[in-house]
Amino acid sequence: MAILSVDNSKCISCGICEKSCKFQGVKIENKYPIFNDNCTFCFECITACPTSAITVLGLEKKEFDTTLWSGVMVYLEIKDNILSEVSKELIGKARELANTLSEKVFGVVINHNINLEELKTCGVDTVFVAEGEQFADFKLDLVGDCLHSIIEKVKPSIFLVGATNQGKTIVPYISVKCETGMTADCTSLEIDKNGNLIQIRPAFGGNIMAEILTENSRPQIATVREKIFKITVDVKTQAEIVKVQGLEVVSKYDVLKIVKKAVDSDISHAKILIAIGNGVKKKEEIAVFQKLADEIGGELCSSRALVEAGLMPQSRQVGLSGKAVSADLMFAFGISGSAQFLAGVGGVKTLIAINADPDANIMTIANHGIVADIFQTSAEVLLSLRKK
Amino acid sequence: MKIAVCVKQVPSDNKSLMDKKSGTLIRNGETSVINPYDLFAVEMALRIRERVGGEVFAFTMGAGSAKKVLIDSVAMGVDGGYLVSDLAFAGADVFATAKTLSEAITFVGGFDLVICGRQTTDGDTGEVAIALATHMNICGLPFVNEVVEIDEKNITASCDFGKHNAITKCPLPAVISVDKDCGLPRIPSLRGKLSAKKAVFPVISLDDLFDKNNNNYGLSGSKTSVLRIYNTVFETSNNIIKEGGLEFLKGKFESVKKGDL
Ligand SMILES: Cc1cc2nc3c(=O)[nH]c(=O)nc-3n(C[C@H](O)[C@H](O)[C@@H](O)COP(=O)(O)OP(=O)(O)OC[C@H]3O[C@@H](n4cnc5c(N)ncnc54)[C@H](O)[C@@H]3O)c2cc1C
Ligand SMILES: Cc1cc2nc3c(=O)[nH]c(=O)nc-3n(C[C@H](O)[C@H](O)[C@H](O)COP(=O)(O)OP(=O)(O)OC[C@H]3O[C@@H](n4cnc5c(N)ncnc54)[C@H](O)[C@@H]3O)c2cc1C
Ligand code: SF4
Ligand code: SF4
Repeated sequence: MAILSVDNSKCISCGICEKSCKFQGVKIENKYPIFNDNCTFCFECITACPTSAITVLGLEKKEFDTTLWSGVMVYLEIKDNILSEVSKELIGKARELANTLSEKVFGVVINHNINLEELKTCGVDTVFVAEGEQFADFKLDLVGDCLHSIIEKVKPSIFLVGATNQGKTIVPYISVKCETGMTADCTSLEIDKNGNLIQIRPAFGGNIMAEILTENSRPQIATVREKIFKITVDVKTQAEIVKVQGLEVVSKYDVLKIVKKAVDSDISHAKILIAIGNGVKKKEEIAVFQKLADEIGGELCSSRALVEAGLMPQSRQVGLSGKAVSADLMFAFGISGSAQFLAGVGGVKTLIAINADPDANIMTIANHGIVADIFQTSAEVLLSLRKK
Repeated sequence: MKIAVCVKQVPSDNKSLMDKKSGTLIRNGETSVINPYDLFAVEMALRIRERVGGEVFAFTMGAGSAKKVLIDSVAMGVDGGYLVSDLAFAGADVFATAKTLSEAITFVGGFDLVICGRQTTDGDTGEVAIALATHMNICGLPFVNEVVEIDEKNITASCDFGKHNAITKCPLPAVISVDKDCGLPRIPSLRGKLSAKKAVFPVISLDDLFDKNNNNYGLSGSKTSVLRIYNTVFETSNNIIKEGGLEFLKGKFESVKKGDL
């Protein structure tokens, strides 16, 4: 059983641990912190303590022979008969990690009607292919068990999966079957001096980062969202194709129907975005921002406030419960910059905020915070663009 | 039908507690709340109960203070709740959380359906539901935005897979995770609030579980470990323009229009 403990000789009684705790799990009593059962082991206080006085006690080191596991495997997701973008992005990252480790890159694909030619030059050393009609529709038990058996045979040290809804379904299945750890939505992956994968991911809505290790089990499984890594294809590599027999199992799932969703021009890939928020109160007020977007070839999007008010469609919502965007340039008109909104704009290169309130949260985060009325500025900018 | 709904206590957004004028933290005691996505899970459970009859029980794994999220659930209309709490459970990652919830739900027993939220606002992995189904060795339907059909034997639901929904049928018992599109969570009624006040919640501890080996739970049973947590500052020149903002904007828009970002 684990418990937090304080080294009183290091503790300077500053009280930062108590202040940093969101759960009232620690109180300073007689100069030193005392932990109580509200503590959820979130580690906030451990990181906050200026003298590293807090440690975790009672952790048994498990023996696990990691040397039997080698190579970086990528789950290749097929979309509309071609390799998905995120799979290609992960191959590039896998190659980089494998080079550091002097190991190989594997791909694994489980599907129906697979284009082998594309796989031969996708940049991996070996692709394991399980093909068959039973894989036409995604069924967790069929794909999961097949994948599990491949992983047990190949024993890759690292397994990378795109954080699509399909990836996020496969990963917990495989992780539990292999009794290993999973790290979600990594934004950066590195190898430490012991050859372990350092998995870095945002936490608590985006401004806090966590570094996570899977030291005592294999494979180390990480999911990564689309657009986090760049595609770098290594065309010199000709992949060896290894066909794998699908296991003879009957699925418990029955996919009755696939319903394609209506496609709306996607804000997550737009280069230029104009985002509007609660500063806009009426439907009529949106027009000027749409026109501004049209003038500069951008897309219009919004905070959740306008989606809740029924003024903007859900598909155009930016943020934690909306879309993550990666525009080169975003203008935010009348948005306060809640943690949930900001969780979606981490990939934006330049953010320009226009807000009447100089103390709004977004003003400290934007590259440029312009203190002004959104209606007056938008009307005048539009006028000047049209004059030229 | 007997339904379990999993709810988690998460820290409330500190920024919303900031007093804008003085810049100090408003301490109203509400430093933690029910994971907002779990409200949709509770709503879904209640709607299924309305459709086919039965009982709904909330489960939360957490410290003693997590009882609050059970109270919130009962206020919305669930029939009861269990607090899965033991020092041995603390510090769990997804693997260990799912293991603990699976043991606790199995201990109470008799459930046809387990409903989770699609993700939380703290750990935010969105992986507990399927990990739970896999630990329990039953089917799991992820990212459900609509339950199309449900009877004593099967569930048919629409699962969001990005560009399409897959209408999938599987046998019960099963675990589902529900999306926010599945229906707006109800506001607690006065009667609900009253019964929530009176409700007592049994505590499930390590001793109750089938697997009593404390190395399989909490921090010790976790497969991942957090090396460190740190604050990132957005790369920003943090240039606040009070005067002449209009001219700055005009210039920016004009150059963008010319194709210069
Ligand atoms: C900053 C940070 C980063 C982390 N990163 C990782 C990581 O990468 N990998 C990892 O394995 N762990 C990670 N953890 C630990 C992990 O988040 C949680 O501790 C784990 O218990 C639940 O995962 P989640 O919050 O992501 O749940 P999600 O999978 O997002 O939650 C889905 C649903 O599961 C149910 N649920 C989740 N937790 C509980 C609970 N305690 N009681 C009842 N129902 C519950 C709810 O219905 C919820 O809506 C991280 C924790 C922190 C604080
Ligand atoms: C679980 C959860 C998930 C969420 N997910 C999301 C999400 O994905 N995306 C999201 O956006 N939100 C999300 N939210 C909501 C979020 O917490 C905020 O409520 C929301 O982002 C606020 O939107 P806003 O900034 O537009 O509005 P406000 O916070 O009301 O800000 C409006 C701003 O406009 C300024 N303003 C007003 N009028 C003018 C004017 N005439 N000229 C100049 N400035 C003006 C004001 O100074 C203010 O700063 C989520 C919340 C929860 C609990
Ligand atoms: S680990 Fe987290 S919950 Fe526990 S005392 Fe520290 S800050 Fe509080
Ligand atoms: S933050 Fe560290 S040094 Fe300060 S009181 Fe807490 S344990 Fe002691």
